[in-house]
Amino acid sequence: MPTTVYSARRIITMDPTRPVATHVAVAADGTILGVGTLNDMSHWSDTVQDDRFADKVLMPGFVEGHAHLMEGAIWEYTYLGHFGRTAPDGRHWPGVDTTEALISRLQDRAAAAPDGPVVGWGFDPLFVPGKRLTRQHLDQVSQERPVIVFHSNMHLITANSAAMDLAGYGSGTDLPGVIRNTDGSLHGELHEMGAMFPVMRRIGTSFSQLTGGRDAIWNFARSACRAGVTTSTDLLNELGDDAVSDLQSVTGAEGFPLRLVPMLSAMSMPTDQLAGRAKTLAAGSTDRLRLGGVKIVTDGSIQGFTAQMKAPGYYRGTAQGIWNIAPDALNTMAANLNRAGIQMHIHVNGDAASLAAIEALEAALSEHFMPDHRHTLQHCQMADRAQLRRAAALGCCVNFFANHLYYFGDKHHDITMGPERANRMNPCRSALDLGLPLAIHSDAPVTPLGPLFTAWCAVNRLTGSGRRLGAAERITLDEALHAITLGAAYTLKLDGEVGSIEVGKRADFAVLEDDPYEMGGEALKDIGVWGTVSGGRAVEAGSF
Amino acid sequence: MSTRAPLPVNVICGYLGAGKTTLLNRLLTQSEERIIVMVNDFGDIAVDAALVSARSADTIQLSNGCICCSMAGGMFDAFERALSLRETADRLVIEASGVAEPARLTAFARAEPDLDCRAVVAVVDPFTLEQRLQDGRICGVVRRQIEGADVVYLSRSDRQPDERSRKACTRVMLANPASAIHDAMGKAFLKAMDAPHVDMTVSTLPAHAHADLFSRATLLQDAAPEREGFLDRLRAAALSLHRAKGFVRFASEEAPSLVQLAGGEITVCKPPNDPGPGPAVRLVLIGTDDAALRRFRTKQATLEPLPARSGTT
Repeated sequence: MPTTVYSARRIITMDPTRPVATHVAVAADGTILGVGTLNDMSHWSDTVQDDRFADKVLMPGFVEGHAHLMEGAIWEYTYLGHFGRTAPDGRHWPGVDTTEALISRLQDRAAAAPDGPVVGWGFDPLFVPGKRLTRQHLDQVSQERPVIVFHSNMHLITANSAAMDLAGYGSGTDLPGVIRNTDGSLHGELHEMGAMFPVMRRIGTSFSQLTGGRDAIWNFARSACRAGVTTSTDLLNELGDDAVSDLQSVTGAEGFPLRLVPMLSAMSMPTDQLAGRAKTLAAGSTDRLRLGGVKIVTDGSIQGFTAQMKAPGYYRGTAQGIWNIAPDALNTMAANLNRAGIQMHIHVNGDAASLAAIEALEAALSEHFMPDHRHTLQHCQMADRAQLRRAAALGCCVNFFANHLYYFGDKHHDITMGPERANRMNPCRSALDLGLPLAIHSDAPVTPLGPLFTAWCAVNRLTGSGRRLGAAERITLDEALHAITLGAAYTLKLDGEVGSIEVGKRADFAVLEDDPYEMGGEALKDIGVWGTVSGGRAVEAGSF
Repeated sequence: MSTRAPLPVNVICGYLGAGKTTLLNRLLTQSEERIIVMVNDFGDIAVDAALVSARSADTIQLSNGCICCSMAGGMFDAFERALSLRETADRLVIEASGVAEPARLTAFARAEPDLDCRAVVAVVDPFTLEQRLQDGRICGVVRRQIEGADVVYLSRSDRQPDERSRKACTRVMLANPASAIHDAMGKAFLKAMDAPHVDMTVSTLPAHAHADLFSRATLLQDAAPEREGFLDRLRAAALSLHRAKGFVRFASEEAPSLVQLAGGEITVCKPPNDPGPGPAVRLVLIGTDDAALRRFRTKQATLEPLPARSGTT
């Protein structure tokens, strides 16, 4: 088999000894053999020159350190969000700005499928002016078929009368989470899982069906390719035998262009069995399926007021902080996993949660030294510099939710956190100054998968309304590109294989239409993505 | 979706180490009902190995007809799994995680027509309660577990009561005077478990009503009040009260009555469960008008509560 030599307008390698190149030689097995100029390629015989990228820019394939396969499943439903968004099939869905537009989009969907429930997702009433979406609005979509709309946070739905009837909800219903108008009639909104459950089960929707499955995995890979992503986590998975078998067969399929890194949910089994399961899973890893890490979820979300905040707590609104694991139990779990040599990714949003995780890791690492552990604080949005210093002293990594700055930044500034703390959210500059290994993420489908956009957020820190949050926490273009390649790869212990274009590493590239250095940090989000090269094979977005 | 009567559900909550699992194991081996138990962690279920008749990844079947189900995969799937076993069971008992907010679980049981929400049990270790309530990270959830309960089960009844445990009983009664307090899993406790759940928590008020606006007050009084006078005063305060519930032993009556106020209506009846010993008046009041709550309390001439005696031996 010949060696392929790709030429490009520019190759940004992320390798400091050779930061830019024009040619890269790739062996038939998908390994990089050479990086340099055309001259440097003359060493290789039996080569095929491939100039299809001659006017494009290659970067190391992007690494998404915090996303979920749900991004591949949720598009089964109709998108109703405020921000325009592209589906895995490439169809661009413009944002929904009015209730009329929402109704009309659901009517189209109802017309396209002759029966069954009509389900929408991604709706955020704060962005739709006028009267809040009600049951009667959705009755305009159908009087007979159930119609439900998931709000963007997935904790609320609005349902039509037919859906309410199925659950037995009526004007006499007095239940927590079933919202009523002042005259006692049903409004249409159902808050939290308890109230949503009777409706959802009767129309055959559940959250577990959105977490995986073969189609979802393929769809996820389609979205990844559009974003230049060649390695991505699925950062919370029960990883039962069926799920693992789906993952193995799909990622093992000829031409599957993505390396998936699913993390075992720590809540999926008793603490004392976790380490054993993680090791069994790790042993089944392949090039395109990397198993063995564990994800622990501590608190909730900031915009949902369920994150655990230290004093003085939330700026406005009622704190409803939740623990998904008791701090004492977290200590035990962290100690067990650390002792067994298992890498942990710990979801912490509020500063009381990040503190609890830091304390648990401190205790675990004091008891048992685990070299190069790379335990990673995920989201970690509200940690202050004192907490970051402690995390740095422990040798932890942070993976910040940079996209929050744009999508929720205005809300955090005005409502949840107030100006001071909103300005220091997701403090990338501080983390780098303190020597913390840094990644940044989208948490797709919470926000769209797109590392270049995520990098733009970290460089510019602009909110949806254009306000700049904490200019002092901006990072440079170089640093942001590092965070979405080698930085994220480091948090997954894959930096020896991917994340830069170097001899011996996997030939995983993001193929860009524009040069980030020519465009500049302010235009990062506007850079076009042609697709990827995965294991040496060129994969155009939309081609599969 | 089922044509059968809704499945009775109990939620058992309590912080780590409070004694939930001990209680659960006793229930599983002693109950005459076929119980589905939903647990986070099978590791805790230490039923007699001789009782186990079959075992799979997410269920353990016992020879007495009880079934243990795992909650792995989340509440949605767990409830769906339990409902699919409806035909084989008389009751669903949920062992909530140590940090579970009981209101989130009862929301499922209350909303789902195929489920029937019965008593919420908070298990409290009286020897460690004080320490829990001083831990800023978890004191909120521990308090809400007690406030949201219909029945409080004080564990460690085998231990000699001391100053700490006696103080804890008083704390429980102050936090939730409307709860029935037990310290043994006898007939009285099983009967209390069967009573319907009555929601007395601020956190589960209708979502349009901002929880911030509501206050919660406790009234404990040793002296038994005259029935008419007491109910008149409660009626006078009814407009500014959202809800009231508790036990009152009226003067010249032997047994306590269950007194409830909801939607401006006062009902007085025989308690569905034995509230256990305690002061003559044990009432929790929820309302938007702080001053009105205080006025009502003052009119009742609150006395210092006695150190509560626990249990219903």
